[in-house]
Amino acid sequence: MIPYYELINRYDKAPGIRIVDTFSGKLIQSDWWRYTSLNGTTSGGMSDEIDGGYELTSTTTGQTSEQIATFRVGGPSQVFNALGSTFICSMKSATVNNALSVMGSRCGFKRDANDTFNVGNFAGVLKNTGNVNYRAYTASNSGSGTNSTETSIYQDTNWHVWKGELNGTSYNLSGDGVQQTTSTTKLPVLNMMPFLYQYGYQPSAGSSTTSFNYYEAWNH
Amino acid sequence: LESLTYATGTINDRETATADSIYDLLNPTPSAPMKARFVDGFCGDTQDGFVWGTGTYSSSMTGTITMADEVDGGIKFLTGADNYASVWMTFQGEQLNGAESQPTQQPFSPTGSVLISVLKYTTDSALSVFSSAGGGLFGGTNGGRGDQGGAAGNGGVAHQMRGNQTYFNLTTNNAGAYGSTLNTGVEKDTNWHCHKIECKTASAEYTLDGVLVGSRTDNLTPHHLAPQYGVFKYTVAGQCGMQLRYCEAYNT
Repeated sequence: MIPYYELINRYDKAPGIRIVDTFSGKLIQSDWWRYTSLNGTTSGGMSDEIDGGYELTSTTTGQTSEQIATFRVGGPSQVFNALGSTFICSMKSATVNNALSVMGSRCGFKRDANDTFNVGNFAGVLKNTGNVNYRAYTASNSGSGTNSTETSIYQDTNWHVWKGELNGTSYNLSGDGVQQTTSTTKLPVLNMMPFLYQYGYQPSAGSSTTSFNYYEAWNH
Repeated sequence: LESLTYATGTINDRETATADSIYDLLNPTPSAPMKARFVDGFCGDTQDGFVWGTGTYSSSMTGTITMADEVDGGIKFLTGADNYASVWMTFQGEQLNGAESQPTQQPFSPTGSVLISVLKYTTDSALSVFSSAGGGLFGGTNGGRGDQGGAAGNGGVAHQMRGNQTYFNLTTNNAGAYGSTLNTGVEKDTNWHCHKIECKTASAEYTLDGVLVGSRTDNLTPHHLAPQYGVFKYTVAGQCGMQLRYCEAYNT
């Protein structure tokens, strides 16, 4: 048998912490992920679809709904190094019965389990209604706002796989296996945790859903 | 590389691993979207409660699913001595005895998925005509119930040991119609084996210990699927048992 260890690790370098979740089974692993409803009417649960994974859904009409799933909140959750870590996340997002819906989908690393993105340590990928393409998205610890850099991947409703790498001096984001952006300003400096996030605004009807069917993260 | 455990080639140099993520190992084409995958090595003091639920034919029936305290023992299924005793495990919500149950997540495709199971049967293989044990992929409105997996509204594909058959068997079933007998040519026994089922567009294939031993094209289900394992016992003396130590399912 080939040791699982040898598939991705070396014997001459002790590996850092790593998590892998394929979002299979009847429930999200609540000893890993903590679901938090931040505003409005929201839900999170496993999808009963082929390749469906875990879904965050907003259904409130006339106001914003948003929710976040973060890693081990309440425990030692901020275990990923802002100066040397990588995440891979497979994500898609869509609205139902409401073309006017405003929605956002985000994933990556974040310092806190809240809806504050512009002053917290954060590195991820962003889909926002109003943008054309997905964007790399970072914030430092200084409260000086965010850095948002456009990728070449259109904001459609298909699955896309994102790989974000923090190496201490830059944040490199790949999408669907292709290098997209390199950010060197407003980078996070404090330890962070994995997060999955969705918000939606449905003026009169419908819903919006962001799905995740793979998340992997490790320290370098 | 299709599955984690059965990688046999040299993935990378042992001292200088070249892949830095599980994702890269499992997806030779990085631009391809991730597909559903599930792996369980059945270690620990109980089955993973975030994934598996269990059930029996009725609340009055006896049967157990416990972790085996043995080297390479995995998880152990054992019916009670009651007539019609059965116990099963699937992606269902909770322990349900005699109740309808649908797996809360059926993420695997009926036309493009694989289930790998390493298991052994611990019962006398000649227990009775209708006694059986095995595992497979099932789906539908009541597909989480082991004794209803092939009934109307449900369907699936499974490898099994049946009391009235000499060989390991592959069954397909859909909406109450069964393809129940397939002569694989491999006599059933109580040794550990690697059972692999692949659902394709127009067939279901059964590979045993790395050798293709049969395929079916009848009674293929359109339902999307979830893994399920179970043991069932008819109206004779004795118990029906099985041990499972590896399960991997993925969409192709």
